[in-house]
Amino acid sequence: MYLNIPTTDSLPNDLLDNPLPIDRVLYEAGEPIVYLTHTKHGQTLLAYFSDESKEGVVTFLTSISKARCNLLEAGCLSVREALTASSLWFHLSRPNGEPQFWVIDPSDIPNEFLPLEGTPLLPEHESVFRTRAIGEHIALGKMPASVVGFVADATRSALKTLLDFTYDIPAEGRPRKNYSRLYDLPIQRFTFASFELGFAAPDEELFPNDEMQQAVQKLEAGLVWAACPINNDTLIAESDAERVAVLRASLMLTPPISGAISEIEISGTWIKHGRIKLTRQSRRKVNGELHKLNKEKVVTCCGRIGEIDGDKLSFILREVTVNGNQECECKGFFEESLLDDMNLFYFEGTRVAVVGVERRERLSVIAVAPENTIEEPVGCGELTNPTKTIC
Amino acid sequence: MAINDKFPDYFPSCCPPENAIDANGAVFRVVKNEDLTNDDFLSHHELETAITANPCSRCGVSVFNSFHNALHLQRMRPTLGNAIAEGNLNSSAGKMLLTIKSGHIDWWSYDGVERQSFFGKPKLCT
Repeated sequence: MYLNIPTTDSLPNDLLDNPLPIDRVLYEAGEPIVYLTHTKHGQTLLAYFSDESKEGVVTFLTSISKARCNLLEAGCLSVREALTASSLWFHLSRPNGEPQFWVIDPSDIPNEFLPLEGTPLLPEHESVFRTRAIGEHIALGKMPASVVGFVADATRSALKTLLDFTYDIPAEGRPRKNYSRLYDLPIQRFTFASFELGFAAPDEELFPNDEMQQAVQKLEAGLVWAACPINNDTLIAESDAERVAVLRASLMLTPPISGAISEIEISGTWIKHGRIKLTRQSRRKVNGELHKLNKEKVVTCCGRIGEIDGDKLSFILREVTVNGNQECECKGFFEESLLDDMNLFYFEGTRVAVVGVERRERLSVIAVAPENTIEEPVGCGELTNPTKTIC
Repeated sequence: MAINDKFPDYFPSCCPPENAIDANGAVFRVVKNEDLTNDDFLSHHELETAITANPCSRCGVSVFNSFHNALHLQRMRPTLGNAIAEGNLNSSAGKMLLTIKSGHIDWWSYDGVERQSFFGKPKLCT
């Protein structure tokens, strides 16, 4: 055997039939790999075919309830979780001779003799996209909540960025509900070996397969490029606009330069390169390339919100002051999370300071506050192309 | 070049089954690592394993109809190896039969066929 046979006393042989009866095969690949069997007393057991050599076959057995079996068959419980919930029986069936079995603790089984963490019962249960955060303090009980937020938001934002580019949809504004379901994917599985979220494909009726796959392929190309430390060539893309979209999406999935997450691993059935490991060096690489392509600058404007469009999440700031003079107005877009604040300041007529990033002459606002709370407000004179207003 | 269409003598009679077709198209196999060897393509019969399995299936080599399905088996049974090789079979390779829903294919190669030669460099899955 490749797996060491326990040296403790084996259990009495009258508990199980020989050969093990197969009540139902749950996963097979040329031979049953996962199946249901039972003891002579009628207790249902989950069986996993682990190892085989000329000397015999090792099968791990564990009791399983009907409810957990349903979860397993629905793809909501991984095979490893189902097997290792409690102690196992190590069942050895020899070609010539009586089978033997022993009680074994799951932690005594070498990792490779059990299914990998998170592996579901069937191939169709596999997550289409998995994002895994790795770091010294990323473990249940020690992990900051922000890690959960980062993994969910980074995946959602990266897919949205590339779908926006593929469908030529402006990044700003409130997305239609059906559209958002293409990138706000249902979470299929949490895994706490580090922290991993597995995402299922969007609803098939909404699944525009070609476009979705096109967006995912672009994202994968960007991630592979970012993950390769020796490839300093420019990322291949059909246009600069595409290159920027791919880089921005890839950046979202790289680990922050500081904090709990030191590495991000991307995998899933949509990813053809197996597992892609992104490090902080990947983030520096993507950022460096983005800076070359994208002249971005941080801008602060003070004024009164004159118009607001809650659907497009856009606004016009009026009575913008530069050096004490009312000179211009500026247009911008803001995140949905700022909508309440923006509405409040608009209805109250409060003068505000907005801080945002100007990219390709579009201002994306990331913060807003009453002007009198800002120590050194700066006028819109910093904008590349401010609109002169009729004040 | 003439195709050798004889199967090894140790194959049971009526093996491959009548519904097996000429091997063709892309197939995927879980292999030990990035360096392919002939040992990566041995059947259960040659390995003297799965002795209670269907005797004809034991003479076939397990491959899959997609990378995705092969990857699932690799994740399910990591001891099989940590790489997946993609092959392109044609009628000179033997016969094949898609056996079950999980995309598993039994491939019975003709006698003397160098199975490894149909496969490219494996892709690591770890």
